[in-house]
Amino acid sequence: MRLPAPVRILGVGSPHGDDRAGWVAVGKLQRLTSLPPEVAIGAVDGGQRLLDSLDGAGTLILIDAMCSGRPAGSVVRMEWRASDNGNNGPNAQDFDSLGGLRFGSTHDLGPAAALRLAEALGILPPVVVVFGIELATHDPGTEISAEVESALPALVDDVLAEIRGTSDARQRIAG
Amino acid sequence: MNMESTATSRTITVNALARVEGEGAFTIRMRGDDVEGVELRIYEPPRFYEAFLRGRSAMEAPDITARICGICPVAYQMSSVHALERIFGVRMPDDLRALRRLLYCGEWVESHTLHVYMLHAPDFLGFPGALELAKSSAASAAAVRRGLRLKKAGNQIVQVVGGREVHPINVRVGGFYRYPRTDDLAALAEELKWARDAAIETVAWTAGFQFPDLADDYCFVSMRHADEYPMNEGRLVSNTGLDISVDEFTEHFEEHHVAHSNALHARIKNAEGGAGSYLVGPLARWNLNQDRLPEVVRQAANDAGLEFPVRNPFKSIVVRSLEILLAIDEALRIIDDFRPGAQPHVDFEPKAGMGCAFTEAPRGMLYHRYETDSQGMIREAVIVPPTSQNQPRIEDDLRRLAPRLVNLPEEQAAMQAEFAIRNYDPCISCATHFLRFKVERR
Repeated sequence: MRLPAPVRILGVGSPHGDDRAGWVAVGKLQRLTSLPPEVAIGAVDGGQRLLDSLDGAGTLILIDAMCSGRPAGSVVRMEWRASDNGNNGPNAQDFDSLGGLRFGSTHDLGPAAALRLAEALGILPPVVVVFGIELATHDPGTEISAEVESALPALVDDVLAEIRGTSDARQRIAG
Repeated sequence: MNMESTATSRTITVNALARVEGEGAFTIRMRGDDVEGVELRIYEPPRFYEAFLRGRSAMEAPDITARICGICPVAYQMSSVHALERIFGVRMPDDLRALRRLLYCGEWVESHTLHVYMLHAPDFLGFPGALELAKSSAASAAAVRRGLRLKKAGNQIVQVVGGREVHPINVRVGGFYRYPRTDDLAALAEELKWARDAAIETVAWTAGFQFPDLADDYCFVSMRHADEYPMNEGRLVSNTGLDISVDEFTEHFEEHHVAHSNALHARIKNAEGGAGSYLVGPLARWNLNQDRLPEVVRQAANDAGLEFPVRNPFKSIVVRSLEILLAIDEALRIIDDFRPGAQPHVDFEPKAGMGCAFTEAPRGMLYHRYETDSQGMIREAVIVPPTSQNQPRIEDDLRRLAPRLVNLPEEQAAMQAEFAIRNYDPCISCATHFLRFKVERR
């Protein structure tokens, strides 16, 4: 399937441990020279910046650390379905296990809350695909874990397959 | 929310008060209709920023103190550099002074807009949060979209002048590391022209809300400048006759520890007939600087039918909206007039000494004091944030509100108390994260 253009790929994260997985992933993507011109790549630190980055996108691909209880390094692919607002679909719990603070904090809102708000405001791109990667640690001052770092190349391949329309929508559970 | 009731006492605990900054707890103790006690408990551990600063170079102060808050980092940078520059004898040239004011305008816009649209407006309109507000109607969704774009405009100012939107990196003792690019300022001005109209709409929107009446005889404290609405410079004044320089601050104000809070409380020394609580922030600035308003702001306030002085804290949302307009109008003027000088900073030699400064953070006056050695290393630092200063005043408001809560269902009582707390846009992260709310009825 050809994705609606322009395609925006955003890594969500922070400098803390595996919470930087989204940033590291988009860093790897930015170093590739083979990306189509309609693809723009960026890094954000939470829901507010995510909301600010949606203008005019036809497709949003989000990469974020998650905390769902799966083995560290597991990758889950989620599709946002307009009708269920991320609440009732098969990945409802996975959306809520994405990184970021709860909705209501003034410091920021989590990615799932930001997507729900974007949908309510009519600014959510028509296609939204989220890649969540299970984290091992997000303690301040820690480095990315070996489990997450070793899973990132395959995640980047999954994102490229998504862009090229060859995704088989698979999930890969580590361990 | 947990509820406990007996024949003689009732306890409500809200474990997740949304839409405030930081972690804390709040308790009202009622015996019948009488309020026995009110405590705003800030239990987040102290963050030791003043201790972090000891032994560090003065040049690091703006970058270290910016980390105190992700919403108002500019305020911390401004108070720190002004205090240190007073020690080193630095005098800001006009172009750099204007740039600092422009940066501060950006922070006022992003911080105030976040609070007005995402945090406080849902209270007035009967929604649990901005998401529900946005879903409620096409007009409400349009309002929230306007708020997000306005906030982004504020962030863009901080980005262009400060180098990045959060925890900006371009501020240094003596000025800035580099001038903003002229084409970035020009692009910014285009968006700010839209934002000025959007701010006028914001004033009209908030002025149409219904305001609970909690007016009181407040002691308002804010800075006052010879001819500007106060941000970076001025004396400290109050509606009770205070008019002091920053060097006199500790003669008139003191911090003290209360057992129920990890954030120090501030009070006016030797206050007559009370505990010395006072209010800092938009209401104080507004009421003490009416003659410093640009015409566009004065007109918007008149159109909104805002009385003077404003003593009802719930109307702070209108005043915040007017300050958004003021900051955008000011930013446009500064960009239009801006001509960069020879270099973006003033050269200086570090000195041993003591220096203090206050500036007006979005939530109110922020005081910093530093002592340095001859190499410019920080020996001591004192930081008095606005939310610490407002804590006793928030408790006073809740004490007055409490009798109205007695006969309300528990959930409504908690919501009304939270609504009143949000009048202060408390940044407990600056003094702490998250509030728990508890009413004890005996």
